Order: sequence, then structure tokens, then C-alpha cells
Amino acid sequence: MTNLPRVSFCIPTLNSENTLDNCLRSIANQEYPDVEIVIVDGFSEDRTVGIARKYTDKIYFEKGKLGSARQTSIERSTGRILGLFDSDIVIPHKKWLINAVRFFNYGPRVGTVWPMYVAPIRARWTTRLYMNHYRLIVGNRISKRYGLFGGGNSLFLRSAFEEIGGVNRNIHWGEDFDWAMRLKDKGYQVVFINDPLYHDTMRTFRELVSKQFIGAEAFAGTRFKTMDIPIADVLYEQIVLGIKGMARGICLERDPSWLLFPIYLIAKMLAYSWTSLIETSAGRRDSRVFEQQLTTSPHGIQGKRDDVGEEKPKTIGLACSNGGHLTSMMQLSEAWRGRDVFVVTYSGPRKPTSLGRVYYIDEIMINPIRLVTGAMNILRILAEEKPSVVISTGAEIALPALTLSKLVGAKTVFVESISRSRDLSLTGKLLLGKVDHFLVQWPELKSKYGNEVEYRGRLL
Amino acid sequence: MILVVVGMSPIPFDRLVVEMDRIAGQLKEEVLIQTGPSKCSLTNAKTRRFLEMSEIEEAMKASAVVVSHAGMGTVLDARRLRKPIVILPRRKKLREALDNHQTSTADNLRGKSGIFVADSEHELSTLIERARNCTIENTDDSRKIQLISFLRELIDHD
Repeated sequence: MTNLPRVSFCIPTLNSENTLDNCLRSIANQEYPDVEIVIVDGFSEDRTVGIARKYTDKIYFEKGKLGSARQTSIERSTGRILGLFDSDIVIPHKKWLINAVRFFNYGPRVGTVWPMYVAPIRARWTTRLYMNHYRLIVGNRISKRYGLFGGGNSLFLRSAFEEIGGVNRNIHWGEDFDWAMRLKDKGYQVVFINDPLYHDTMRTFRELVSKQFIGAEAFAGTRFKTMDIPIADVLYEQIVLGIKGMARGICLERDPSWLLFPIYLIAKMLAYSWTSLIETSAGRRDSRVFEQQLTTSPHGIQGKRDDVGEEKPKTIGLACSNGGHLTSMMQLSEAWRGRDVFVVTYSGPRKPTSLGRVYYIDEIMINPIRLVTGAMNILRILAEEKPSVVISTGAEIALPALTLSKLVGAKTVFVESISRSRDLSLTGKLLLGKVDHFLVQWPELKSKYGNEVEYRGRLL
Repeated sequence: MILVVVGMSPIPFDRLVVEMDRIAGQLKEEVLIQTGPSKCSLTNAKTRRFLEMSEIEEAMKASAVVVSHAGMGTVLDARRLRKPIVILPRRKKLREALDNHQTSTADNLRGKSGIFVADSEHELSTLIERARNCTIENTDDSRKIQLISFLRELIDHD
């Protein structure tokens, strides 16, 4: 027991009075000879600091980004092993730490011991749903032998952190991904242990949804694609595994939290299409072009290079519902005459004539499941057609069509209905700032919505 | 012939449908009403729930006047075929639409050549007669051309 290394639990806090006491008590109760707790508090206005004082003297104050608080806590700590934890973690049993620390002996380059997380016993539905789905995703990645990243709430070797230069102080969300990747780049290995911690996170539906957007945003730059997981598998994890989990969870495990899954999935898909997946697929596309040039240029095989340059003109995508929005679209058809065009519209009694290839989907606003299946259908069509420009005249079909169009790298254009002269439609409001060109048909709207909208003429 | 259109909305527009059926009883010519989801029983006019785009086009060509909700689709079609059109906006208060955007459409179209805005269903019969005898001036297409050219450039540029 005596030559076990000191473990420093480094925990940033901010108004954490609801969870902190359970968290620190479970750490203090560990049957481990040398534990240190370091708190960096962002000037909490509740009882957080008072609670922390019961367990440690090492309390520091810092207002700023999460990454910065974490780095401060590491710099103030002394242990050879760092437990970079959140304040809403509870260690379920007393021997957890002594078990976990042993896994650093698993190999010479083990830098991280990463545990499974589960929802606490009396957790809310949202917490349980999040953790249930998370567990399925981790299981899938292990079975497919994707590399695992030890994010937050894991144990790390201090020496490994020193080698990578510590936590990036400028990152607020996704700081754990950032350091995990740098550890990976230095050749450190992760040991995943199935001795779970309770993680009491995502306590409200609002948090669950907003975290999807924050998370997607955080991964949007470079993080997501360096996980080396193909988009198809990410979608598989989110959709197929999720739906399977829902069926199993509701029917066999009788866990009602899965009932929330459809809404969670929609939020997640919207978040992904809005941010991270867009970047990822654009990155992918670029790298493929780059590879083509690389393989053709060194010895100047001129013919091949021309092949790359002379691609046939790309397809134009049109998306609109089947009423007046379709009529408006047809009035614009001069704009794409002579080009290869396809249309996505609702199946119904009215069918477009003289527009091009037509794909029919069911109306999406009937229920959430229709929205998901409709969005998946649109995604499939877009992936097949690979349009360079997608234009929508509304109505709500524009939401999935234009956001998902970004996935395939298309330029997106929303033409607001001519009937909107004083105010944007709901679809328009939701798409504002999310499309490449937002055209309004009345110049008056420019004074209300500023430079996010463009006036370029109108149909009448 | 008179073509009456209520559009693709899932909400019925009985005010227009019922009044036009009544008017159809007084007229000698054929009245074709696209009724949408309306459940009213109509006696005088010919009715269809929905019409294909090509059918709308044919019926419109054969019509002297088009009567319609203030939906842009029908207005644009009538404009293209140079048919006079009488529009009655759906109102939110009467639960004919989810919002009042048709009222603002109607306000924007008021006074345009060949377009007659009815503020209530009682004005329809008068306006139909006025529409029947009107001459439609050549329309100013410059703004439409501007919009199309912008899109054309955007597409070709890519």
C-alpha cells in the first residue's frame, strides 16, 4: 500500500452546491493512502466553497474558461496521478480508486485510465437517457476497435500531461477532447475500465439539448474528424443504436427514460448538421481532392489532371412543399435552365411538372418520427445527387433540406415567400444566418433583419 | 367558366367555397371549385378536392375569371396566364389559417392590374363582374428578371 502514488483530484466548480458534497465525500471515502483534492472555483455565489472547505484547504479562485481552471488546478496539485473530475461525479464504492490506479501498470505508455459512466440510482430521465445511449456508443466503439479517447472524469499520468504542455487554457467546451487527442498524438494509450462512476449530468431536458449544440460546436473545428470514425458510423451510433436501445430499453429493461429518445435524436441531428458534421464532410471532401492532385501531379500526367479539372457541371437541388411554394419555384426555373436539376417535395395530390427528377417524401411536420425519417430520406437523396447548389422556397421542408445540404458541401439559398413583406416566416426565422444566401422579396425586410437577408428582386 | 381555388392547405376555407357555390347558382356559366378539405355539401358548382398542376393550368386557361384564397401560387399562375383573379385572404381569427400572412399578401397585391382583393366574401360577386370586364396591363417583369438573374449567376458561378 505504501508505494502507491499520490492521486490529485482536480475539480473546477461553479455554483455546484447540489452535487459537490456527494462528489467530495465519495473521494474522501476512498480506501487509498494518498489522496489530494484541489478545487478551482469560478467565484460561486452559493455554498460551494463552504462545502469544499470541509474536504480540502487547496481551494483557488479563477474566473475564466474551463480549460484554464483545469490547468490551474493541475499546476496547484502535487500527485503523480491526476483525477480530472467534474463536480457532479460520485465514486460508487470505496475500492474504485485503488483498482483503477493499478491499470497504469498495464503497459509502458498508458497515460489514461478511463472509466465507464452511469447515471446515479435516482437520476432524472434525461440523465439516464444520456448515459444509456452513451454506454451503447462506447460499447460499439470498443467492439469495432476504434481508438478510445479518455476525456474528462478519468485518471491521468502527470508526466503525460507535462509532455503535452497541459490543458489548453483557451478552450471552454471540449477541452477534454483536445488534451485526449494530444495524448494520443504522443503515443499514449488509454485503458478503459468497466468499473463505472456515477455521473449526474444532463439534469434537465434543456441542458441535454443545449449541450448537444455546444458539443457539436466544440467539435466543429477539427476535433470530430480526428476521431477517425466515419460519418456513417457516427450516424449508426446515434440513430440505429439509439433506436435499438430505445426498443430494448422500453420493452425489456422497462426504462421509461428512453421515451425521450426521439426528441433527443432530433436535437442531436439538428446540432450535428448545424455544426460539426458540416465541417467534417467538408474536410473530407477537400482531402480527397487533394489526394487526387497528389497522385496525378508529380510526374505531370497531364491527361489525368484534366480529368480532375473537367468535372461535369454539378446538379442543382430544389426543395419545397407542394403548394404555392412549388409554384413559386417553377416561376424561377429560368435560373437553372439547361442544368441538371432534381426536386425534393411532398408526395400529395399535386405533382410538379417540367422541373426535373422528382423525389417525393412524406410531410415532415406530422410528428417527430416523420421529421427524422424525412430528414434521413433527404440526406440519402443529397448524398446520391451531390448538388452544388440547393435552393428552397419553403415551407418547413427547407429546414432539413438546407441544413443537411451543407453536409454535402452545397451552397444553400433560401427564397422567402413573396407573401412575407413585414415579417419572416417561422421557417425563415429558424434559417436566418444558417444559409449562404437568404433572399427576401421585399426590400423593407432589410431594415428589420439587416445584412443577414438580401433583396434581389421579387416574383411580381 | 370560373375556377375557384383554395390551395393545398390542410385547413378548410368554407367561407370562399360556400359563397362561390351560392354564386354559381346565379351564374349561367360553369363554376369549378377546388374545395380542399372542406366538408360542406355543395349543390351548384362542380367540385374537386385537389387538382394536379396541369389540371389547374388547363382550367385556368379555360376560365374567364379565377377566384382564389390569397395564396401566392395561384396568383402567380393567374398572372402568368394573364387571367384576372379575385382573391379573398384567409383569416387567422376565423381559423382559416395559422397566421395572417394572406392578409398582408392581399395588401401587397391591392391595386395591381388584374388582381382584385375582396375584404369579405360578400364582395366576391361584384368583384367577379369587375374582373370579367377588366383589361390586364402588361406587367413589369423587371424585378422577376432581376431575381432570376441573381440565381442564375449564383448557379453558374459555382
